[in-house]
Formats: sequence, C-alpha cells, structure tokens
Amino acid sequence: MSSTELSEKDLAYLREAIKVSQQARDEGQHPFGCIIVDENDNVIMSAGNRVPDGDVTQHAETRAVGLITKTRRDLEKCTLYTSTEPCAMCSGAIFWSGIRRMIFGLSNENLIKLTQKSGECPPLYINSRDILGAASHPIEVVGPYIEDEAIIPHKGFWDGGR
Amino acid sequence: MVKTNISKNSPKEATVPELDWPFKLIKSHLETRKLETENVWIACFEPKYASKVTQYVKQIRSKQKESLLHCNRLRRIQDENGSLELQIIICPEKSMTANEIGKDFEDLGIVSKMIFLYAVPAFPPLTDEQFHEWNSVWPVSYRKHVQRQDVFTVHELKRIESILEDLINAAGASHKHGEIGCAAAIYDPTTDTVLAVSVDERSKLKNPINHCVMNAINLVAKRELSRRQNRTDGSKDRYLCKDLTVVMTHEPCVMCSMGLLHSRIRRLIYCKKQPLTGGIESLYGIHWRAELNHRYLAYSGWNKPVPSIKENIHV
Repeated sequence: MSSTELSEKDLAYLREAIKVSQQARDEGQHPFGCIIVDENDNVIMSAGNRVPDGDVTQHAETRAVGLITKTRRDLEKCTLYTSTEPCAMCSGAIFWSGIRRMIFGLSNENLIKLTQKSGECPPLYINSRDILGAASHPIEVVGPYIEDEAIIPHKGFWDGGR
Repeated sequence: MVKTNISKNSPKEATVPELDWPFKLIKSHLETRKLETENVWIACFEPKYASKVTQYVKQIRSKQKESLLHCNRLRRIQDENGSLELQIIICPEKSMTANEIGKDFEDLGIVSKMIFLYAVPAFPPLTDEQFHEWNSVWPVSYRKHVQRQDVFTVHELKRIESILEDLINAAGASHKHGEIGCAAAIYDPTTDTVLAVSVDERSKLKNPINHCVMNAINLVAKRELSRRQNRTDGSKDRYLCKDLTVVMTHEPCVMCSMGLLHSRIRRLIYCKKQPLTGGIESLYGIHWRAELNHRYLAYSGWNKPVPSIKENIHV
C-alpha cells in the first residue's frame, strides 16, 4: 500500500478505471481498464483490454494512449488511472504519451499471484516505478491503492471461471 | 553476405556453424553475471565416515528449505600427505553454528578433521564460461539450456539477410520522409513467409506508440483476426507470433521488447543497439528473464549500414 493518502477525487477516478476493467471482463476480454483525466477533470479517454480479439499488444493502457493521441498530444497535465499496475510495455507507452502522472489499483505482485497458474500473463518483476523512474522526464507513479476493490474483476477469471 | 563454409551445392537444409553466424546471441543478465557466493559450513573427514556424514546431511537438509541444489554435496581432495579426504557441504552458514555441527558429529561418532566456512557459488551456472569459472571454486552441476540452442540453415540466413536489406532500404526511405529511420519484419521460417513489414510511423500517424515493431505486430494481428473469422477447419486461436522470427534494424525499446514477449515470438535479430533506450541488451534484458513464463532468443551485432539514429531515441 502506498504511504501517501489519495484524494477523494483520485479515488473516485481509480474506481472508474476499475469499473472499466469489470466492463472489459463482461465483454469477454481480460479484466483490465484505465481512464485518462485532463487537468480540468474531464475523462478524455476510457479503454479496456482487447487482447482476446487477437492483438496481444492491446492492453488497456496502450489502447488508451493510442486512441487519445490521435486527437490530442498535450498530455503532460493529464493523469492516467489504471485498475492494475501497468506491464513493461504499457509503462513504455505511458512514457511515450507524455502523461506525467499515473495511479494504479492492484499491484503487479498481487496480479502475478492470480495469473501465474493460467500462464496467460507473463509475470515480469520489473515494476512500473523502475521503468517510469528511469524516464527522461519525471513521471509520478502512485499506487497500489484500494487493491481489495481492484481485485474483484479478477476473481475467478484466471482459474478458468470466465 | 552471410559467410558460410558450405558449398553452393549444399542442400537448403544445411546448417551454418555458430561461429559463422553474422550476429551474436545476447546473453541475459543471469548469463553474464559474475560469480556470487554464499557461505556454507564444510566438514572435512576421512572416507570411512562417508555414509554416516551423508546420512546426517540428509537429515539436516530435510529440516531446512532446500537451496544450493546446483552445488555437488561432496568433493574429494588430497591432503598435504597425499591421502584422500572428503569435504561435504553441511548447510548454509546462517542455519547452524560450527559448535552445533561439532556436537552432532561427536554424538554420531564422526571424527571431523575440520569444520570451516567456505564460499560456494550461490547460483547455478548457465553458460560454459560460468561453469568453468565457478566449478573451480566448488564442483557445480551444469546442464546446457535446451531453449538456448538454435539452428540456422544456409537458406534461412540468406533469407533473413535479404529481409534485413529490404528493411534498411525501407528505413532509409522513411527517414527521408521525416520518420525515425528504423524498420521491422516478422518472418515465419517454417513456411518461409514474411508476414509483416513495417517502418516507424510516429510522425505520419501523430501517435507516439506507432513504433515499427508495434505496427508489425498489429499487421500480424489483422491477418490472424481474418483467419479466425474465415476459418472452416475448426482450428484453434493461437498466440500471435508463436515460433516466428522478428528482424529489425535497431534494438527495440522497452515497450516494444515487452510487446514481442506478449506476442510469444521465438527469436529477434537486429543490427544496432540503442544503448540509452533499448529493452534487450541495453536495459532490463526483457527477452530472457528467469521469472518470465515466455522467453525469446535475441541476436545483435549484424554489421549492416542501418540508418543512423540518435542513441536516446526509442525504436
């Protein structure tokens, strides 16, 4: 658990991202979701995982970044809220997007405990802080938070109960 | 051209010796790590006590969490008088004290010449080099990783070389149009088919994640999607790039290296490393990490005139 307290506003947006992860699961996708919020508190992008459709790079975060940057490039003041800590690929995409703040729910460590048996998610013990911390521009990484809520969309998913 | 010591009349299947490959296997951080040691208690005794001591060690090990499985338990050495003596690893230093071991030996009627601390290799060797160095410290077991053994046929290397030359041309042309001069291809050696070729399109598509590899994976995904939609044979969905070879002009960034891992490729070959941003030999070694449930072989250093791009640019 992160030591700093998360504001009510941040918590509300993080819950929104968790809701998107539940929607992804309901649609037959993997249970991951994220939203991008601008400096004026507008949710400018929402995206769920689309890996089962055939493109394994279509994680929630890469989709969100890919979609938003088609219409908007100045993302420095935006925050990306994601239901689960991003993998190395998604951390790279966040770096590329120019987004300077990322808040996540479920940690990579706890996700691995769920997914390891299924063999579907390659666990990689390089956490997002390591990758984003080495970025040429500062990116604030906040999390994990409300893991007890963030884990709900994953319950029963990785052990075949889809 | 690919240098081979095989005549022109050789069959297509003739393999090229590793020494003649135009690139080098990129070792993982585990394969290049220097010797790290762990202190253990060693008991020194005459061969006549061997069965009693091994029984004792078995009993000790059953009570402890197993570690150092790669270290042979026993080693034979000659003492200063030329007579044979045995040395055995009892347990890690933190598990017991020399006094406790000495007392146990006394109770069992074992006469030990000496009980001392010794630093043995902490990890199993993964390469010939590590084995030769670490084995001289204390005997270790070593089994060559079967997944690390690769074969290239003459035809395959020539084909990959021609793909690479096409990529260099494509990257050069793309560079002239204001893009980053790098390119990637996804090749299926079993069917000898190039499934996708892509250049970097960040400027053109105004999208910072349209790197050449991500674009190429996307093209393969589209093919796979249409295969799934049109199949009549009841064939299963498959991992996107399973068993495929990815050829690139430059080392992929962390995002792309992980994208390749998610796609389950078999191997990656590229020419030039990106020391500040690459996710393979430069940072993280994403292609081959012990904790991953998939790994891929990676090769670099093919000396080709790839477009020059800044070292701090991710490809």
